[in-house]
Amino acid sequence: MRAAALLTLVLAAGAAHAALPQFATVAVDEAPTVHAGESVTLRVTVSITPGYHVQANPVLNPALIPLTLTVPAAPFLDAGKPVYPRARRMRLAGSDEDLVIYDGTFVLEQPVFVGKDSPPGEIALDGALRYQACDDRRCLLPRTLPVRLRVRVVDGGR
Amino acid sequence: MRARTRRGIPLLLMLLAWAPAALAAGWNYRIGEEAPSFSLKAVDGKSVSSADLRGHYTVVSFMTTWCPFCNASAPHLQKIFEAYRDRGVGVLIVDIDEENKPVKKFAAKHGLSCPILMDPDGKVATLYAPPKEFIPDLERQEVMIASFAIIDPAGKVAFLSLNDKPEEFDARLTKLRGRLDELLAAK
Repeated sequence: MRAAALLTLVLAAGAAHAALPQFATVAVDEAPTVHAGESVTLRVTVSITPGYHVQANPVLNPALIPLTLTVPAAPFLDAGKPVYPRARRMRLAGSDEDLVIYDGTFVLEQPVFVGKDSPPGEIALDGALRYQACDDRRCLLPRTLPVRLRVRVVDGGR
Repeated sequence: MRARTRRGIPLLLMLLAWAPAALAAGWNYRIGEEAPSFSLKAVDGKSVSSADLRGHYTVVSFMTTWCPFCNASAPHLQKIFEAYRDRGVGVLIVDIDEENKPVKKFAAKHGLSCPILMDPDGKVATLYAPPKEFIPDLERQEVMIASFAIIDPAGKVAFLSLNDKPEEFDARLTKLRGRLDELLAAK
C-alpha cells in the first residue's frame, strides 16, 4: 500500500532558472524498509499542471528534451535505470511529425540498490527531474525539480 | 420612461460584460513601434544587425531547437523564405540561449537556408517580448519561444504572432503569411 505512504516534496525551483514557476509536482514513496545487500523499487509520482504536457522518455525527435530522472549514487546506495511509463502520441496541428508526451499524473519506477556493507538507518539519494512542458500554444524553458529518494536500511551489513 | 430605463439595464450589463473580452481580444503589443535594435552573430559567424533590415520586410522567427512548435513550423518558415525572397522579403531566425552545435543540426534537418542568429542569453528576444502583463508568470525570453514578427522597411514592427490568440499554435504560419501578403499588396 505504497500509495498511502507518499511523501510530497515541496517543489523548489530548477537549477538553471531558479525563479521559474513549476508546471509539475513530484511525490515519492516514503522510505521503504530494505535489508543491506538488497534492492527496492521506489515509485516517483509526477503530476503535470492541467492543460500542459511534457516530452516523454524516450522522445521520437532527438532534438526535444525528454523528461529525465537523474539520481546520482550515494555511499551504500546506487540508483538503477529509471523505468518511464508508456507515452501518449500526439501531433501538433500543421506538423508532419508525431510527438510522444506525458500529461496528467503518471508514475516512474526507480530501482535502488543497497550495499551489503550498509549500516542500518535511513539513507537518502538526492536526484533531479528535468522536464520541458508545452501547452497548445507555447513551449516553456526546461525546468528541474529536486527529487529525494529515501530508504530505511534494517539489519545492516556485518 | 422608467420602463425604457429598465429595458436598457440588461443591455448595459451585456455591454459591460463584453467590454473586457473585447479589449483582451485586441492585443496589439509592439505593433507600429520601432523594432528594438540588436547586433548578433549568426551561426556561421557573420554579424547581423537590425540596421541591415532597413529597406525591406523581414520575417523574424524566435525559436529553440528543443521546442516542438519550432520544429513543426521550421519547414513552413523555409517555404516562406523561398516563396518571398524574390519579392525582397528577408527571413531571420533568432535562436534563444543555445549552443551552435544543436542549431546547426536543426538547420540541416529542416533544410533552413535563412540566417540563424544566436541570442546567447535571450536578451534580444526579451526586447521584442510583450510587457510583463502578458503572461506575467513567464520570463520574457520564454514568452517569445516559437513566436514570429514582421519588421517593415522603416524598421517598425508590423506583425507579432503573440497578438493572435489561436486555439492552437499556427504551425503553418498562415496568419503571418496573410499579413505579409497584405503588407506587400499595400506597398
